[in-house]
Amino acid sequence: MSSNDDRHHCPSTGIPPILAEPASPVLVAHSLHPSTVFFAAAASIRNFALPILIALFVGRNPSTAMFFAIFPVLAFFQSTIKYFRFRYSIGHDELMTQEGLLERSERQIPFKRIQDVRIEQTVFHRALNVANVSIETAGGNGVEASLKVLPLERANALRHAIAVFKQQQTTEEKHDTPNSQRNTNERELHSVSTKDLILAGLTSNGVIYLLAATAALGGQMEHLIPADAWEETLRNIVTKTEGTFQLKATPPWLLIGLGVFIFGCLAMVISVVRTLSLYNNFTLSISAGELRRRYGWFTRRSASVPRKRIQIVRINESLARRLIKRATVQVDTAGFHPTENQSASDGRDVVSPLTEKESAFKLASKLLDSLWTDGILQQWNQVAPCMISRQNIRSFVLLLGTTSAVCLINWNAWYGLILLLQIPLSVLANKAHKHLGYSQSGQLLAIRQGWLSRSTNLIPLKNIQTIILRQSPFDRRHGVGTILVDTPGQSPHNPPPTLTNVPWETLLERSQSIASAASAKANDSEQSTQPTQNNSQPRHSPSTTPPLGTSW
Amino acid sequence: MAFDHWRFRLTSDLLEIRSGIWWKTVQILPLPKLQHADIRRGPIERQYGLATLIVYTAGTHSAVLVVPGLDKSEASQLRDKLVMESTRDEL
Repeated sequence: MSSNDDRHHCPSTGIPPILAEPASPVLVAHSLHPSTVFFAAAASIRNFALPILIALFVGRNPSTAMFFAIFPVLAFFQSTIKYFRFRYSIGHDELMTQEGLLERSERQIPFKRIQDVRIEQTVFHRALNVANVSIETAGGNGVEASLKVLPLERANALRHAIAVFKQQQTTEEKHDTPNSQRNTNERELHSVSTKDLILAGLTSNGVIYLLAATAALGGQMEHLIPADAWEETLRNIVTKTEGTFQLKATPPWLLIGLGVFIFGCLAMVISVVRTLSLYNNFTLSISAGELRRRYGWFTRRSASVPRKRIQIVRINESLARRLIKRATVQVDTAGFHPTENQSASDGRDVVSPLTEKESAFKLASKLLDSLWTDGILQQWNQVAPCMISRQNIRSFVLLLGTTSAVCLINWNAWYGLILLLQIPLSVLANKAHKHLGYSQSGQLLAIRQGWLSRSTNLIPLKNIQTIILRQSPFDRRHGVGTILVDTPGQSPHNPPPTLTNVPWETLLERSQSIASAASAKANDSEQSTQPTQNNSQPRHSPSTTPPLGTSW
Repeated sequence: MAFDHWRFRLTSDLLEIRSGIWWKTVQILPLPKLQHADIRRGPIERQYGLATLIVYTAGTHSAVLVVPGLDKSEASQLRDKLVMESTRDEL
């Protein structure tokens, strides 16, 4: 459990805390769906299945297995207790949860601060018509409230309540007439065809990783298994499967190549299946200022993010995807702090798994709507041309290094030909220079980076937290520098939007103006009520709605 | 030596911190993005009446900006000024 400041520990005083606060008039406390107990136990069994099986079959001592078997039983009891003690209620502007047997904790989550509502349904959930609901705020500790398991209509009602509240807020702020007719209607922005998903699977990193893994495994196998035995088994396989082709005396390299090919195909199939099951029927729609994504085959996921919370729109084109003119669109939202395994497994920052390049930019323009200006993709400021020569020098040094290393091990004048690789690399560096660049237009900053795998970052200026300029001694000789743009909600594992080799003087001027724009824009953005915490002047006394941190 | 190259500048809407001799870094913070500010004084700093100002933002990669080696009173002045500027629009 996260230790946020929004948790109030109430000693059991006999008075239900909700009754003690007459803030929201109509409050019905619900409990979770009864099946929650079974799902919790099942999850625990799944987690401990492997240790139990290992202990049963490998270890001779059955008591170890018994030891592990205790955990699912404990989980069962724990979830039973949780089921009876957990209550949640939906107020008109906040969600309240109560839990705990001895130490009771109550948590209030104002709708205003909620960033992300995700509804997840596995196959089993669908059978019972229930769902998992995760609610995230900008507090940065990930999931703020996790309601496992709710009846599906309850989950949808909760999301609807939040959406309606936010909609009311925005119309109040803008002093508009509530044109709910237009806004609450859900309208579809984007969907991804199965063909594109298959392509996405084929070009995903997973294929490359699996290939590398199988190659490494193959290498290991050769050490473990005597070479002739290895060859013999392969030969057996080949003669059995392709006996009709009368492949006699096949050279071993062909066999190994064939093996790698089969592994590669397998990897691709796995990757395609994975992508399909994760993103099947991907649709992106907008309703009441919220982006809603629905995707998944076995596990149906549905996530909604307020459009205002989008920090960066990224359009990524990896090398393989560039060749088929496709791109991936991702968004960073505040409150999204993925741990390593999360970001890979449930694709929650993905707005479009794969789409054609033009429609990717169209989608980005729809996402950024009022901030978008068409000029931004036309006028690119290129980086300094010294980038080409620097890239050339770098690759040449690298090539020279490898060549001399190879020659030291095994002298052969022909290895000198490695240096010829410099020619295609120079061509690439030239092309890359044309691509790298930045563009600022209206309230948007765009940075194009990367040269084999490309990505375009579209950053609304108001989201920029800090701008960092770096200049190494080498940079100084060329009069250039590096710019890094920091915004909330970036993945800690990926570098921030970065552009190297920008002329230093322009960089200084640019960053000043960008930073000014960033601070000017913040004034009339909707979060002007943002509490700023500081140590010397506490301007917020502990109240019923404590700040949940930063709401960017 | 390094001291000479730690510079900071406060304008009406920005805090700019420059540092480094060989590897230069310029950090620019739009003031409304400031979340909160700390003053830290280690034992050695206390000995010499110095203080380090630490400024936090909501960012991911460089959410913490540091201005070391300030005079004690200067640091608290700067902190108050920063906090005032950053919250000015809210009042």
